[in-house]
Amino acid sequence: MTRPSDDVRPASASGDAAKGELFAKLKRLRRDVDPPREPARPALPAWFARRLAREHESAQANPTRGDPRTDAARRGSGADSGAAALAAKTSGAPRDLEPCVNAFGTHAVRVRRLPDATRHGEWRLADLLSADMAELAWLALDDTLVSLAPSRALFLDIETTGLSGGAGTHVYMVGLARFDGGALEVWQGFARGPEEEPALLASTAERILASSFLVTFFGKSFDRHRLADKMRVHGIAPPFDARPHLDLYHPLRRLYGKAYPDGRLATLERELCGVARDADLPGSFAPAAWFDFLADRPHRLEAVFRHNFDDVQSLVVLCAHLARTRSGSTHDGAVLSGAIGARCAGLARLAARRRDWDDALRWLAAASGDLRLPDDLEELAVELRARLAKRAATQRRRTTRPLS
Amino acid sequence: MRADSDSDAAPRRTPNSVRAAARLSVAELVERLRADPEFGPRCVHWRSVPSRPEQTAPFPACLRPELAELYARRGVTRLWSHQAEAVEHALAGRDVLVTTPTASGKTLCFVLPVLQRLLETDGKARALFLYPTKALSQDQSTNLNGLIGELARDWHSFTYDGDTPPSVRRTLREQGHVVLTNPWMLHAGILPNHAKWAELFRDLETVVIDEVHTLSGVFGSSVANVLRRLQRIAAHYGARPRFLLSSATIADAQNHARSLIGREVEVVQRDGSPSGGRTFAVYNPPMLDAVAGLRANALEEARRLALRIVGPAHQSIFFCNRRTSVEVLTRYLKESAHEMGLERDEIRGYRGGYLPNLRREIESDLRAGKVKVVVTTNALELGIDIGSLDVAVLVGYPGSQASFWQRAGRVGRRARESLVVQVARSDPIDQYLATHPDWLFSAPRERLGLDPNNLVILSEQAKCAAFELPFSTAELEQGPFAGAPHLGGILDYLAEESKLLHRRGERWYWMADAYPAEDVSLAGGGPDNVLILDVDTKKAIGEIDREGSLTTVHEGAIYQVEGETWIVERFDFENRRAYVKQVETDYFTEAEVDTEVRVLRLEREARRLRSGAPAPAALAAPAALAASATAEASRSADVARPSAEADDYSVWSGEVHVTTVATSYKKVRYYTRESVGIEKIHLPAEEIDTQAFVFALSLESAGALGLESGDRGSAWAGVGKLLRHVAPLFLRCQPQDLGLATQVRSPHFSRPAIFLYDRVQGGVGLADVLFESHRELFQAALDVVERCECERGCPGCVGPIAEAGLLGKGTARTILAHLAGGSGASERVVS
Repeated sequence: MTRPSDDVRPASASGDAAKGELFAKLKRLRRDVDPPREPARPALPAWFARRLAREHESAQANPTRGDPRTDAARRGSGADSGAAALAAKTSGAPRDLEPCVNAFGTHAVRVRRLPDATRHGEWRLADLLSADMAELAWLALDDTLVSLAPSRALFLDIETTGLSGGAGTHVYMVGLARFDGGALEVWQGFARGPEEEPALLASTAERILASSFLVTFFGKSFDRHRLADKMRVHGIAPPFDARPHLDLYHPLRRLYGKAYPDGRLATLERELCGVARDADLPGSFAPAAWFDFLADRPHRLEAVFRHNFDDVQSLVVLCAHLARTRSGSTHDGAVLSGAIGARCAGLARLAARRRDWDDALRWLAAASGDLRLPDDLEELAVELRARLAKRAATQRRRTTRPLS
Repeated sequence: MRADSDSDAAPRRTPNSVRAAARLSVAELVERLRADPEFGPRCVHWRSVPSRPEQTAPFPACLRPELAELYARRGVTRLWSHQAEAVEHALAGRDVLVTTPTASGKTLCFVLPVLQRLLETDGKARALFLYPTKALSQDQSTNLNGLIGELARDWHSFTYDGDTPPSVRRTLREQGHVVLTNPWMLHAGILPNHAKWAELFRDLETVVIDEVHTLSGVFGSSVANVLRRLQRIAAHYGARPRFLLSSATIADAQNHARSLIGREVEVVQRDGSPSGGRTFAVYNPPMLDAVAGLRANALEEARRLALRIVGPAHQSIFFCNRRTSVEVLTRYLKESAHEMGLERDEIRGYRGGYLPNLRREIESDLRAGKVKVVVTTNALELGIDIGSLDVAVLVGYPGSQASFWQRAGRVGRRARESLVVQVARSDPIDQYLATHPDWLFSAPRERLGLDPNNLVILSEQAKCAAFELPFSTAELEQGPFAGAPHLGGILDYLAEESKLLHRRGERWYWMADAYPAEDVSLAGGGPDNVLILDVDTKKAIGEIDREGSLTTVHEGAIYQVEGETWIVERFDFENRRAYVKQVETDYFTEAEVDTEVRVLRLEREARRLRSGAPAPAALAAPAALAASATAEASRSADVARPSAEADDYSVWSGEVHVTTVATSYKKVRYYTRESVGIEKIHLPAEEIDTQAFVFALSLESAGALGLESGDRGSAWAGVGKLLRHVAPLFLRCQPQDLGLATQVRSPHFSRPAIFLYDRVQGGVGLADVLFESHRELFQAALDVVERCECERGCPGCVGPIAEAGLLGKGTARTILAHLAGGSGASERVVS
């Protein structure tokens, strides 16, 4: 039963075993040599985790700016050209970083100014400045937006080391864009290590406080909570309470949710604003880039900076697009891009939600002109008919009851 | 309501004597039972514990008057002495452990200080209550909200568990003055998201942990680390909560609390609550076959006993150790309801796995006296409020003294006469207690195995802690994790090898896209557990730990759950999945296992010399070993290979490497137990490194005891089995928590040796407790063999003849008598 045991180790003379010995023991006891376990599941309800993952995939999508050349390349031979470009890793610190000092320490920042007239896809950044806030408030079902000035918006998008939430997820990049003297100022705060996160978040809080409202994509569910949680950990008061927040994800999903296979930022910016991005990258892209950088390995942080930079611009033009939804046209009078049937159906729903039945019927009729979504329309029509019938019945009761 | 025909029928069905018994008081029942010609003699032990008056004390003077008024409205004008003592300690800011019995008003000991602080701080001070089960926390939440409601303050207590809807979680986090939860939620929900709970942590003044005796083994060792994490997070937000703990009566309570929370506590143990007179009976079922050592089935005996002690005039509770037994006994009793003068509905089963609403209903019907008989598992062992009952029947020893008293504590609270009957099963520990009932009533002797510094548990918990806040090098010296051995090395390992942490200067940061608490189980094993899947329904029907999987879910094994059988079609060892198909079989399977134990390092040693041999110079002797005058002990790091010359026997605790290989399995027919085939098992060996208690007999002594000649090897194995079976007397564990290897000639020691090892990777302290209690262990094992009525070995002692050999029982008795023969003179070798 027992094999000879001449290899019995004498106990080490003192309590502290050599590091190598401890490591070997830990490896053995923890069975770390075993086949890898299944990947960790995020501690979120499954549906929510899926949605987060989807959004994050989109957020992590190709950071290459859409321009005709890459489009042409994609149509031609180089389907992977974007991915190939991204595969290029750099070493050392990202360039063009300035230190930023505050009461919580130091972090790095990169600031770029884009003239108002800059195009992002088919839209100009300045198109946002003439957005009708009442329109946005109507679409977002959020009356706090009505009286705000679009020029005082702060567009926010963050990069983190994971999606799971919790104190161990680091926020390492915060992209904040605002209009300032004829330009869009894109401020990208960056933590060069976990110890810089408090300073980064302190600067972020300060900038949010100086703004009038926030614009994000899925930020009410993700960015805001990651920031607030980590701010609380570091003893920084979160600046979100009572600050209006337009999360583009929700109104856009209501309008276009059924028109496209997914509700990702990458899809919407392409379909609605003509912003072209190439090959998708895996969702682990942003965490890995920072981990590589911290471990002094070649990294793809530059791609993360560019991607974040593009993301905040997409927030600007998507917001401008959203504000034109009911008009159906751009500022130049061109027909608004995007699935018109779904949009009209969505508007009908919104109107119905506000109990404006006539408006709802009008949008339903408009939607009927577009036959791409018969199922959806059928469903909506049934719903509206039911509501109208119910309303009629209620009115009948009201008018007949006093008589009986 | 009873139908007329039934009441007419009942007397005809049942002998009059039984019917009459049903209306008797408990005191009269006891008299009848004693006098019963059949059952009386089988009650091998009787003990009466007289009623005890209450001892009271006034409310502490510093207590806010509105709190005394609050309780006065509930009829409480004075506190019981232990309550007053605990409350005073708590109000003075001390950490307290209350170890009085179930239903001695422990809740008040926690609630009063918490309410007092809420009043004093005008609602600022917060408290966190940890309960071992969900049901308990819900119970308490209702109670607390009732009290707070009467104080007319805008304070709230909430239960936070898996059932808490997401919509109210936020309110709860921000406005919960008292949060009631369980260790799992704290571990995986609250601590990793501490930022969301910042309001709670910032003003966290009190942490209450109920029933801390349940925190032992892997689970307890993990929870001790969760509590380190809790203190760490609280400190981050500037709080240093005080701990208020409660426990059943356990040995060395002070030490247990220290291992658990890392602080010294004030132990309050003098119970001031009143109790009615209690009569205890130990019932040993009749021996059916002395050769086989077979006694009448305990469950069947419990049913027969019920006809004599259950009735409509009082409430009874039956405790079984397994869920299936609960169902079987409930059915038996319902079928006999009329013979006991009861309706079927007055008899209920109650166990984990019942839906919460059903359980609440049964609990309230028990309190209201509507349910007369409840059959349950340990589900009703903890403090769920079901009122006080009159008769308790324990079908089988519950495995620990603490559990025994928790169960017994379910009866006799209202200063009424009550009866507790312990029904013995055939296994060694029950039989030991049938002959040594004093053991139950003496001071608690079993100790809790708890080792927060187990390398595996500590390293897994360090991952979770690092996720919550970066570790600084200063924390190796101070704070809740201070002094945890090898912590710095573990953190480096997690950084350099596992790539989960990133060290920058004096700090280790979590640096991975993962949520570690999800994958770290408090009960151990976790990701290594094997999931058992039904191939037809695609559903999981069970889970088994890594070690157990080799012998229970190998291909061809019959897997049994609650009487239903499945055959294992495929065991995907790599991916930890076993695929099973439901079948009807007339056989079950038993795997044969080869276990190989290799000594890695011996840490503590104690030995006894053969009388007449010169005693070696004493080495540093830990106080725990002082029991035997001739025992030498060392806690030396370099114990050389022991010289056996003058030794009689030696014991060690140390590290071992255990390799287990499942070699083959037998198909055994039900009832007849005939073997209908043997098949090979093809599975890789399972290896663990763990702590073991090792015991070796010198060659001289072995020779003198006749252990060398052939057949006697199986007697040595029988000794090992017995030791393993009686270990739970001194250690809170199940026999299956301990692995056993017996070697007639150990290659390491070159003499007979027995290894009892902790079946948890890395060990959680069981081996050390055994090492320290080994003399008592020998004595208990000897007592079992000596008192066993079988002729030549049975399952109740060294095992049946087929296993222990014809001379097995005699030889085992000789060996144990020699080992347990304690002092000077008897150390002479007897053969």
